[in-house]
Amino acid sequence: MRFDSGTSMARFVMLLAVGSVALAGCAVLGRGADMRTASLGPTDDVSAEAQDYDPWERFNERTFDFNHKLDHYVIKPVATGWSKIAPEPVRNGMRNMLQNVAMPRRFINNLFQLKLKGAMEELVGFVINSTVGVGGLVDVMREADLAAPDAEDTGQTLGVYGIGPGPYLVLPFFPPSSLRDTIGSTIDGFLDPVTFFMPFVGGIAKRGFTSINDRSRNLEEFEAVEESVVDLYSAVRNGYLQRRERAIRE
Amino acid sequence: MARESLGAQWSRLTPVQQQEFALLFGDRFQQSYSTLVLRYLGERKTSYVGESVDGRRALVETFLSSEKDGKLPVEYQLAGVGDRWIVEDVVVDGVSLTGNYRVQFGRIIRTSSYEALLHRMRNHGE
Repeated sequence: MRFDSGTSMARFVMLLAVGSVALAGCAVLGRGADMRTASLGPTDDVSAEAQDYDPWERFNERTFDFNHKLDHYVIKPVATGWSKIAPEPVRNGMRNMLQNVAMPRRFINNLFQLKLKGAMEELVGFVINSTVGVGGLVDVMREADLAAPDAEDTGQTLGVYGIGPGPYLVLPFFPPSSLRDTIGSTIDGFLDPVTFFMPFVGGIAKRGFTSINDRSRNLEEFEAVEESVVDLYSAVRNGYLQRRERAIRE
Repeated sequence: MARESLGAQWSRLTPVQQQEFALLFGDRFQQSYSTLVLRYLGERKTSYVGESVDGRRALVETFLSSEKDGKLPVEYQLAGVGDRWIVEDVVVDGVSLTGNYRVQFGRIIRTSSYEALLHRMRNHGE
């Protein structure tokens, strides 16, 4: 799938929302049956949380809480305003354009992971989307179902070469991450044309705009997720770590 | 599924408590199901990719697609019990939801207690 790490939070939130629906379906389906089959197979006795390495939980919890409030009081209201000014096709176009511009990062990381087909698809996609897709506004490749290489980034490349995620890490103003992926994202910043040419101002402006734009495209999903989980912090942490693990395996 | 999501705690419960939890789990998600389906699934299309059966286990692969977000892979893992299939896990874009709920439940049990978890599930959305 062709999705950028910058939009990963929004997308994660979306998938949790959709996922809860699927789970709900399953809970309904499996209802009753679950109780009768309680003796089926051994229950996993390994501590469930052991798989999510989070030694900095106290710090992360605070920054997660801060980011959550930031979203509630700043990002969401601004995104709501933006969604009223800009119709959905415009906002989707903006998303496509930002993703198209981030091609170098995906291309280079495909190469580093020896995914030559993916690297080719990134190049071809960039040329087609930039021309036929009017400067990247239309993701022609996706619309036509032509190619959807995985959105590779440096964190994944490090993972492919055997480096584990390390501690889970939530920094203020940033989406959930891990120590490895934070280092990866920093390197990715240098591979981004916008931040490369305008390191500080460009980087902040782009990140700010991307957050607002992504949020405006997922205004209601976030609330739906909050309603459907019992513990938001660990739901987001686990979702992030599971997705990264899968992305590295693929 | 309720059992899977509770992990080790499940075996520490009495059958009555297990039944209570399973019902609570079912109710909770039936509730978010109706909210979410009515609100969002209307604009998404489900396409069926394929299925594979290996003894008493089966995997059904689907995609949810929407104009806005492209394709989202959703896998259903089923187990055969008697003459019926029950869903053991749903994996959405690489995230096992049973695993995700197990971590949430585990954290609440660890930081407070099983009673606190029950309390939270009972009062959710009110």
